[in-house]
Amino acid sequence: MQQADATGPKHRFDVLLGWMSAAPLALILLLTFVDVLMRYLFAMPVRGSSELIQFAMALTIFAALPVVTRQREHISVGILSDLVRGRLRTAKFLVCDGISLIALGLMTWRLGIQAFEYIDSKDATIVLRLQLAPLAFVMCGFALVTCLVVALQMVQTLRSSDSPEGAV
Amino acid sequence: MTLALIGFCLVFLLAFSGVPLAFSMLLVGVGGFAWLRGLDPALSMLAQQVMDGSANYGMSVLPMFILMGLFVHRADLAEDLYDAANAWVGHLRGGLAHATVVSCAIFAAISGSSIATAATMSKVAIGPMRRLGYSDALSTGSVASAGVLGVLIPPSVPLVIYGLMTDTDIRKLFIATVIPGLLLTLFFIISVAVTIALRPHWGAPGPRATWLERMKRLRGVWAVLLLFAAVMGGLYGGVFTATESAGIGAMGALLIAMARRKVTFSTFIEDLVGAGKTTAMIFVIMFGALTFANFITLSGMTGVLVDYINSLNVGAIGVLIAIAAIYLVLGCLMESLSLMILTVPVFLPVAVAAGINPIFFGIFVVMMIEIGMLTPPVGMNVFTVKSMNPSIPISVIFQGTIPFLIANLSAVAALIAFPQLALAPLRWL
Repeated sequence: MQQADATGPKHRFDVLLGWMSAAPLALILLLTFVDVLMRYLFAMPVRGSSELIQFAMALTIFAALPVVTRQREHISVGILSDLVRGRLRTAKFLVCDGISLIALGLMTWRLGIQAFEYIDSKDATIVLRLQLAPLAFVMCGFALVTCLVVALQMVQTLRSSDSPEGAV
Repeated sequence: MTLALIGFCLVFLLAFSGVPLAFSMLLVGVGGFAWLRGLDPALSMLAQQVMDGSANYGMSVLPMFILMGLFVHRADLAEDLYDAANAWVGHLRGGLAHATVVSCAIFAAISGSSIATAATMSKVAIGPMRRLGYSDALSTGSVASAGVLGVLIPPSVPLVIYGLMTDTDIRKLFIATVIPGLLLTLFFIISVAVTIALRPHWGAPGPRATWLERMKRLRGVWAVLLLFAAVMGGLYGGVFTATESAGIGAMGALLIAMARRKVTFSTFIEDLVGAGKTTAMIFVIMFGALTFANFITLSGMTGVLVDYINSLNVGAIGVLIAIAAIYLVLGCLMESLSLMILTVPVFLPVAVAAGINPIFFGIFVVMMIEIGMLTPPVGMNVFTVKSMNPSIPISVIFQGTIPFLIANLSAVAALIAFPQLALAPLRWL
């Protein structure tokens, strides 16, 4: 992983999305602990805690997705790809990123459609009546940011004549 | 069947070319599903998998166990563990390597990752062994290999993922690892003893600690035992669900790290971000794997495989040996977690059809993929130890893992021969 410049936009991007992923995770940690304590000490579990955790899980995953993608930390095998050098390597990065972009694009598009379907169906959680549509839109938004990250990585690969290993 | 085979070939082609495995499986899964049922159902299935998989309370068990591992690492408990083990067995020939195996096993009881265990113990154990003149092969090989105990002894992140993917009770999975985990620890100890018997100069004895000193050093392990007792005691005492025990474990590890003044606000955030990133990485692979698994199921491949295996009349042991052989080969080529996520949806129905218990199969799979952590060219534990000790050639570390690989394979063989090693503890529940 190439470290982002400690003051540059890449670093700020990582920090911002890192916080957006850390906050719901901290909420899950705290809610789980408090819920158990309240249940055993006061026989009064936190109302709707599982629904809040459900939402926080989706936010944790999708807020971290652009950072994982920017830092090229997705699990890949790449045995054949390690054998190529020079222009072939650049082409390989472009093709792999292009394929990743198609997969992410599909996911983004369908999450958007799903969000609109939730608006129509007014799907919500049972206890707290939290609407699923806003959550799906936020997930779609983070997925869209991830698509932009991959697109920018492809542009940088095209511009760079050296190894494009570094993240955008 | 043909379509499913083409799908598998495509996934491997894309993955080996460098496309992230998650996206390879996702695209091939959607494409294959669309071929069989049409584009609209395929795309709807994709969105549903992503929504159901991510906005899911039960899935929070995974980031909580990951977070617990990070906080445990932050708390620097490994050094105390190693010192305690060293005080008891360090005076034996090869004693520091024995101490490494024992402290890895205990550390594994509060950490769910083999890479984290290998990285932590690498920092703590290799220096003292090198200072005492241990061979690099034994010192690094023992750390890299004993690191695999991190996922066999509960809590185990790969076992949690197996449980979530296959809807298998995580409590049962954890308790089923007790005997295999202890057995593997014993086999590793025997491996060290045999290595030292063959090459006595590889591990010189250290100074003998007094009984008073040994007792004093044991005080250093109280935090580990307390955390393990809270998580596992709560889980099996019926106090917490698996999800809650993971959350309590993470909070407990954080409190221990705070009590030891090892955590600041910025390192706390750093660990949360780290856990968030690992969670995202694993979940994206799971979205891909579940989409791909839907396609494989729809293609009828599993049914054909089951019929084929039945026609061979090889029985459960034959099926397990065949699957083990596949894991040995693929383990050399693929990262362990992705290997498990890719293969379990196909292998589990075949195993169940052959009369194999899904709990037993989970333990078997985790033991097999962990062997891949030690085999070249992509043995992740070996690379972890190498990254912490850049001056030691990678070939030396791989050489050092050979006796432990034999131990690993012997433990798998024992498990196949005696499934009760995993299944007997289920009666305790």
